[in-house]
Amino acid sequence: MNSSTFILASTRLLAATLLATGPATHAAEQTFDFKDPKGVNNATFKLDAVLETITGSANGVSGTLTIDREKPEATKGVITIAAPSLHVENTAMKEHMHGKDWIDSATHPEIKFTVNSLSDFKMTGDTATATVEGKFSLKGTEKTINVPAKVTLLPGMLGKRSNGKLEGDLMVIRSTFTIKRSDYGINPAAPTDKVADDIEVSLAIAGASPKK
Amino acid sequence: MRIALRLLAVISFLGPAVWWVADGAHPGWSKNTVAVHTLDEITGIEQITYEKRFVPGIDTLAFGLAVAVGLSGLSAIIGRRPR
Repeated sequence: MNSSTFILASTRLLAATLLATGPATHAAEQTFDFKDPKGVNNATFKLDAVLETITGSANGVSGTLTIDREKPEATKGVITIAAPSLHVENTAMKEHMHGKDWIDSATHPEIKFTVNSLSDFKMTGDTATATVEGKFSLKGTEKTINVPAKVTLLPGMLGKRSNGKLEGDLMVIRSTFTIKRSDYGINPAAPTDKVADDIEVSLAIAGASPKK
Repeated sequence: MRIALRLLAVISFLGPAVWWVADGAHPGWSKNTVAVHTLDEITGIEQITYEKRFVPGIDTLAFGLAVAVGLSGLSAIIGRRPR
């Protein structure tokens, strides 16, 4: 092997190694997938008006979050809720809710929260609290909001949840925040004594990160 | 006939009222589905599923009352003696 062939072979080996391992700064990154085959993940909503309280839930949760345990403030990802999965217990009310004046789930089938950054990060054992800044998108309107979140890491629990089919970690996120119905064009003309303007959203979702 | 209509009116009001109270006196609209909460032991998240069941609400009460008022009115008209 002459020297030029050796240099070429060494360069190829180095490039292949870098590609296989990735940059050293991303070593602690872990991606969690929130598409839950068990359908446990859910978001609930409550509109508490003077004359009427409306509650419901949605279970069409999907999306991924990538966290870096050494740099949690750099967490990125998107959580999506399928708008057609929104459910209230009265059938007629559900039909109205999905209609054009309200959620318009046929035209806007996704409710999205895109994580921009984390602040006020506090870690206690495997549980962390933080304020998450992100873009909340609903019915074609996108607004930047700050939401509190409680994140619990369950190392090695994916195996138990999948009956041993997969090995890996679980991450549970809980968050409760309030948005305004009028901010997102959800029938802003509807009287607030019957349908509250404030929508309290509670998210309880678990993501899985299988070992590769 | 008049007495029968009045009896029917009382039943029309009391029936839904008793049903409403017995089923938890739900203060909102009637429900066609009811949320069932199940705890996922590993994640601690409450899974929400829905079972098809009718729970009477205030609209059921109002319907019963409307039928009762209608039947009472009818009994008054039928029972009126011609002048």
